Amino acid sequence: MSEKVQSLLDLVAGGVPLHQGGEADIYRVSAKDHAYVLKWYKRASAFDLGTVEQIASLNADGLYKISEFGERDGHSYVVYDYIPGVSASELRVPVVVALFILRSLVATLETLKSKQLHHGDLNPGNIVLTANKGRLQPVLIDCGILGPGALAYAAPERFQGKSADEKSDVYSLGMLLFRLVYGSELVTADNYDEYAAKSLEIDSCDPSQVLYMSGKFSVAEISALAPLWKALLRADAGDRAEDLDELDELLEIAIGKLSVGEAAVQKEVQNFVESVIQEKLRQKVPETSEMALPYEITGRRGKFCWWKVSILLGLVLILIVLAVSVNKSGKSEVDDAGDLVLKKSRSLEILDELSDSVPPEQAGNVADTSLLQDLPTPELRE
Amino acid sequence: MLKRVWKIVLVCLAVCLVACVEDDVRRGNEALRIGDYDRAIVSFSKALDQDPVHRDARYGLALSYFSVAEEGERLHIPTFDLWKRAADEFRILSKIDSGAQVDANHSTCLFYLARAAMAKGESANVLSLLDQSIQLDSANYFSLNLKGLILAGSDDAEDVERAKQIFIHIVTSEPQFISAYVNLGNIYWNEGDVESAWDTWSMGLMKSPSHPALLRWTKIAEDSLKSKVLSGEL
Repeated sequence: MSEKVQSLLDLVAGGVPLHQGGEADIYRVSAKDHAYVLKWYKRASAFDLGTVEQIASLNADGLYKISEFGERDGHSYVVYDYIPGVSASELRVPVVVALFILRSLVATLETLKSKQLHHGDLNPGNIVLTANKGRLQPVLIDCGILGPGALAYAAPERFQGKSADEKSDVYSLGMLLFRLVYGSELVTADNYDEYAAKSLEIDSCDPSQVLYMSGKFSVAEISALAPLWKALLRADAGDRAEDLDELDELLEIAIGKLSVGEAAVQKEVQNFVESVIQEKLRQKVPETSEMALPYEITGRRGKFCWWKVSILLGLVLILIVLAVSVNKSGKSEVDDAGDLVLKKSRSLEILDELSDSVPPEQAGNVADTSLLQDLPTPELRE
Repeated sequence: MLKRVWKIVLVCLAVCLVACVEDDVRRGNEALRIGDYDRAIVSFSKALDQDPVHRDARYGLALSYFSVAEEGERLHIPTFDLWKRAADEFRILSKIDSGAQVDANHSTCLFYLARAAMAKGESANVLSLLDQSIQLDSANYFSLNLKGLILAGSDDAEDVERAKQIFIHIVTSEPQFISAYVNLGNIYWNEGDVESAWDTWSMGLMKSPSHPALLRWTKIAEDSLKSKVLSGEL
C-alpha cells in the first residue's frame, strides 16, 4: 500500500520573505523544526529539471542541499536547507581570502563536473559564505538556471544561447574573483545587448589596471592576480584555462605568491571569518514566526477553512431563521391582522340597518345617545 | 484574541435577545389571531419591555387593545377608556411607523374614541379627535359623517353649511354611504327645502332601495311636495 508523501510546503510553520527578484522570490521557511529556503519562481520562470534532480541527489560540503522541488499553483519551486551564512554579494574580501574561496568553489564545481553538471550562474548572489567550526566554507546555490544567468558574469557564448559548460563557468569565476576583491563588477552595462557586446570585448579590458588605479591593492597582489585574468577573462573559450584542474593550479600559484605557506593562508582566512562572517551573522535579523507564503497550505488551510465556513454557515442559518421568523410570524402576521381589522371596519354592509325610528328633525341631535347607537360605524367583529 | 471572544459573546447575546423578542411577538400574533386578546397584550408588552421601538410588537399591542374595545362596543358597555388605551398605542406607533394601513386603523380608533367621548358626555374634544382621524385617513367617511352630524346640530348657520358640504363630499366620493344621503336630506328638510330633501333621499333610495328610513322619508317628502302642488305653493 503506497502512502502519499506530504509536501514540505504543507508542513511549513512560518515563513519570512528574504528577497524578491525578477525571476523568483526567496523565503526562509520552517518545517519539522528545520529551516529551509523556498525559491518560488515567477510563472514565466523555471529551472532545468534534469540538473536540479541530479543536484538533489548529491551531498557535497560546498553545495546546497535540495530537499524538494516541483510545481505548485502554476509556479516552479525549489526547497533547500537554509544555509546560515553571508551572501558573497554583501562583502569585499581580501585577495588571499578571495583566492581561497575560489579554490573551494572550483572543488565544488569539480564535483558537479563528475556528474556532467555545470553551474551556469556563478555570481556573488549564488555563493553563501559559511563559518563551519571557524573554517570558511563557501556554498554554491541555485544550480540549473535556464538562460545566461547574471549578465555581468556571463561568458560571451552564453549570450549566444549556448548552454553552460566548464569553460563558461571558468569565465564567470574570473568575473567573480574580480568582484570579490574589488567590491564591484568589472563590466557594467544598461541592457542585455550592451552586456553581450562588452563580454565580446573583454580581452581589451585590463583588470590589473583597474585594481592599480584604485590604489587599494599592493603590487604583489596585482601581479599575483594578473595571470588569472589572462586565464579566465577571455572572450574565446579556447583561450581560457583548459579546465578546472588548471585553474586550481593557477589559484594555488597565486596564493603562493601572496603568502608564506598554508598556515599563513589559513590564519588570514580565519581572521576574515571571525572579523567579518561571524560579525555579520550576529547582526542577522532574529527568526520570526511570520506567515507570508506565496501559496496555500493544503492540509492546514483546509481545516481552517472548514472551521471558518462552519461558523459562517451557522451564523447565516441563524440569520435565515430570524429573517424567516420575522417575515412569517412577525410583520406579515401582524399586518394581516391589521388588514383584517381595517377591511371589516370600513365595510358598508351594515349601513342599511340604520334605524328608521329617527325622524329627520331629530337626526342631527347628536347629544341623544340613542342616535349614537344608530350612527353608522365601522363594522364590529363578531 | 480576548477581544474577539468578547465580540462573539456579545453578538451571541444580541442574537439571543432578538430571538426572545421575536418569540414574544410570534406568541402575541398567535394569541391575537385566535382572539385571546389578554394573552396577546401580555406577549406584546413583554416584547416591548425588551425593545420599545419594535414596530410589530407595538402594532400588535394597539390592535389587541382595539379588539378589546370592539368587544366592549359589541357588549354595549362604556368603551371610552378602552378606546383611549388603543388610541394611545396607535399614537406611539405613529412615531415608529406611519404606513397607510396603520394610519387607517389609527383613524378608525379615533372615530370610536370620539363616539365614546360623546356617549360619555365629554364632547369638548370630539371635533378635534375627528379632525385628527380625518387627517390620518381622508377616506374615513364614518368620521366625516359624525363630524357632519355634529356641525349640522349647531345653531351656527356656517356650521350647518359646512355639514352640508361634508355630506355632499361623502355622497360624491362614496355613493354607497347611505347615511350621508339621510343626513344631507335632513338638513334640507330642516331648512324647509323639501324639494332638495326629496331629491337627496331619492338618490339614496336608488342606491339602497330597501332602506327603511329612506323609503319612509322619501314618501313623506313626496307627499309634502304633492300637497304643496295641490295647494298652489309650487
